[in-house]
Amino acid sequence: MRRNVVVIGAGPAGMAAAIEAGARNCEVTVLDESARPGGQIYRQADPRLSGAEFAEPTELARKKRLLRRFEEVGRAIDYRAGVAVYAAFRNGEIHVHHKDHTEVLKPDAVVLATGMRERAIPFPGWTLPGVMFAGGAQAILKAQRTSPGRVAVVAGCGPLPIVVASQLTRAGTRVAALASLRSPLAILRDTSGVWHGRDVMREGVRYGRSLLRAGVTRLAGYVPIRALGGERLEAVQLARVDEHGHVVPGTQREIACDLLAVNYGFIANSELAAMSGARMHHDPDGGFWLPETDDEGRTSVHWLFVAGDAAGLRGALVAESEGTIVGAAAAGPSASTESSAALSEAIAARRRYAAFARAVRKTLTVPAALWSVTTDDTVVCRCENVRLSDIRLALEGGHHSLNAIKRNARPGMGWCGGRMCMHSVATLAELHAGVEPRNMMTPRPMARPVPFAALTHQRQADAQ
Amino acid sequence: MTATVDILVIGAGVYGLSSAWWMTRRRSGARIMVVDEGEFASGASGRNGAGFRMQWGLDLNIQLSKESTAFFENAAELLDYPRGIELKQDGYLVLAHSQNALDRLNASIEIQHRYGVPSELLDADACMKMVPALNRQRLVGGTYCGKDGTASPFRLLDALLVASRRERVDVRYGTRVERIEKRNGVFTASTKDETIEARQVLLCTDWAAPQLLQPLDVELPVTSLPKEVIVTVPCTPRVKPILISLEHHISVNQVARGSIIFVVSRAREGSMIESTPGFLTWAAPKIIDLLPGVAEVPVLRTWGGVSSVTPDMQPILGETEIEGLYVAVSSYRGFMTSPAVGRMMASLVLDGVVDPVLAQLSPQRFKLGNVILEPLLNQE
Amino acid sequence: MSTTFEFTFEGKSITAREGQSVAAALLEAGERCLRIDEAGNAKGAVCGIGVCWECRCSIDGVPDTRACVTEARPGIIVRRQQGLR
Repeated sequence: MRRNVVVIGAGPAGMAAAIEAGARNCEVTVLDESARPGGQIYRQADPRLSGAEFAEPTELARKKRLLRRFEEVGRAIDYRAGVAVYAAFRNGEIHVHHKDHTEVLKPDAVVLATGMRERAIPFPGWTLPGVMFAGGAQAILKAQRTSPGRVAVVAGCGPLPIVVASQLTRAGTRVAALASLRSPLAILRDTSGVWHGRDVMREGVRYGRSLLRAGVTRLAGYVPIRALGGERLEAVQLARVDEHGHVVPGTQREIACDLLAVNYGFIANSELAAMSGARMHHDPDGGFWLPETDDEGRTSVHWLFVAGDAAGLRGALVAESEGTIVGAAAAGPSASTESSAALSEAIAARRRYAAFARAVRKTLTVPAALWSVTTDDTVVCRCENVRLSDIRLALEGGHHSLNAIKRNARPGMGWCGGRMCMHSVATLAELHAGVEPRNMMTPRPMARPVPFAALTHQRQADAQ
Repeated sequence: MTATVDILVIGAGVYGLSSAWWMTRRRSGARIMVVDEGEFASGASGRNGAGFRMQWGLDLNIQLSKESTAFFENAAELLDYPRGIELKQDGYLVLAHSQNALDRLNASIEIQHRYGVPSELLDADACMKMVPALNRQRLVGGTYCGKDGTASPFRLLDALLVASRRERVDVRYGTRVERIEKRNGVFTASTKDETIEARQVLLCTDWAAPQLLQPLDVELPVTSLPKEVIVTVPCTPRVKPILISLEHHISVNQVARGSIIFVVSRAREGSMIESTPGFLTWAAPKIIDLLPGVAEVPVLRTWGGVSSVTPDMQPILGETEIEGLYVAVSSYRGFMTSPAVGRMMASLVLDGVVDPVLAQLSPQRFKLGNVILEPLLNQE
Repeated sequence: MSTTFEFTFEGKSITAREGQSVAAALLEAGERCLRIDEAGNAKGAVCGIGVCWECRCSIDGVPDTRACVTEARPGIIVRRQQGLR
């Protein structure tokens, strides 16, 4: 009997894990929501869409190489595109939504490779159409070969805004300004990290050059404080912040634009790990709530492994090498856990790139005071239109845990399941009431919305 | 560390806080403490369907709900809580899909009318007119009472909490009583950090009560029943009254926000509030059968809670064999009976007054073999 | 060169390329507001990958369909979602 492994997510970590587990004679099923593999970083366009690539050739080469390897094993694994895992249970069941029916899988091991989503800091006007996540704008550039705006302001912290600003200019968008919380050169302080990630750093230099050539205004130390417009974004107000994150009075400037692409870091898509009963820990800048894992991706739940960003921010290079390591571990304690060339290489690569990932992580910390850009009447929970003032009312009423705030003020009860807002609720609770919500929200189905009709038509994997 | 009070209430859910508040109404100056192991509204009081109905088949249940409904209607004023408790009285429609169920409705409505409950019998067509989204198949009729409705348990609890604290009731969360003892006429409740001495103790911890009573050789036949609740994405209004289907064991509540909340009752064991793997697939076909129109509506989230089960599914209210030790255990209808229960428990504890309804729900009834079954129970 | 085709958005004809998402085609056409929520707020695409659910439109009568992960097809009738389904 071959060991059954389900990999959730077909980004670099998931693809690498599937390839390795497959190489070790496991029956591998890969579940992914997108129409094509690649995750976020290696997002593919529909092959019918012609157009330019805006990413650096070295990154594209990495993408092509991994995608080809995945395609090669494709025949040997069960790769399901366009499906959503809506629940995981302690007993090892994974519940999957296909268009009109659902399915229950109960494999020997699950590798969770669900990556990360972007972190927002709410500010007045941020819900106007035209305000997007920087990574979201990039997803449109990659997958749609088109730019989501004509005149853009890009803002945030870390490397992503720089890359996105550059890619937008290459796509023909006029980037009116690139505002960054810190100088992009700050990462150079971590010389060791930078050295280990020199391939990526070189790409960064080339992105930087694109920006210089395009004459993009660089505003180091500036953050967006207000988005203006009627039914859509028309301009952004930016202001400078000091090193503690406080807005410096008198430094405001307004820039007309129809796209604001902003990113303040990332949050791990770790909900399924929590639902499975895995022990979680709180890491505010590393991904919010992360599953506890060992070096081989094992969690406190014996059948659950986590690889890549879902276990905490580490980037695509680490994710890919880690996928191989975790895929090997998930393949189980058998003769095949012996080291293979691929595995040794992956271990060495991960060590190298992890140093770079640590350097990058430092650029993604956000000082608490910066959250003062969220004013009382700013909408914090977009789905339910819950404002900071509503949350403060709940806090003043003594409701301090995330569950209690959710119950009383309703953030997190809308379509996105709290993905856009609960990290904000946690940070704002600390900032405004001095409470550190210690427990994450009780993890429950549904991880994705599923209609009753599909739930009625459920297939058990064994039956097939 | 020892605290000394007159009355210790264990459990700050609706029964505990309601009783405490009513005590302050009846007599000022008594030192009352309420302790709860969890945080605000973390127990069943924060996890229920938030509904109240007067449509019951037993006199005593009608009386409990009727008094409580009147309280809800005036809660903002009575509790001096201008925010209000989000009261909505759009009625309950109780549905029958069989002659047996219809007979139960017929018998019950007669008793309801004796108490002045404004309920009415509807034929199947009238039910369909009221809620066009219903499945016509097998539907034989229903009863409707326009004064039934919902309110926010969180707001009610908050109002009771604020009002109690205003009257100097000491309410402490995160305080778990591990043991109760009685010596020389005084009760001692031990928590991790302290002991609390009290002359009287009122236990409002539902299915967790037996643990504290066993060491005192008091038996209380209450067990736990985990329940799971399904919540859809917000939709435009399509189910105005709360629906109860006696055949499906489902209650349906479309809240102001637009989400439709389904409580599907099923016989289960345990006290875990986690979601179980088979629940959604088991519940979905029943829900579609009752309301075919929701087939394509996505389920957005689920939640769980634990109800209490007693041998006759009625509350247990009164003094135990141990003098000064009282219990108020709900049986899945805590929220909707809490105003009346609070008042009766306050009278009992402070002045030894036994309300006639209370007498029928005493802990001693099981020994006497009194089994009172409610015909309009919506449980499997 | 990609094949192009037309679909309608709020009665307007929108040109899309084969393989494009509804959101991308609308963005290219200069449209930003894809939805008006229950409180009357204009909403558009935010995350671009289908996790925020802000870009929900009615597509051929099917409500709450995410424009950013739905492929545009010839002749589809796309409307802004107005409030709840």
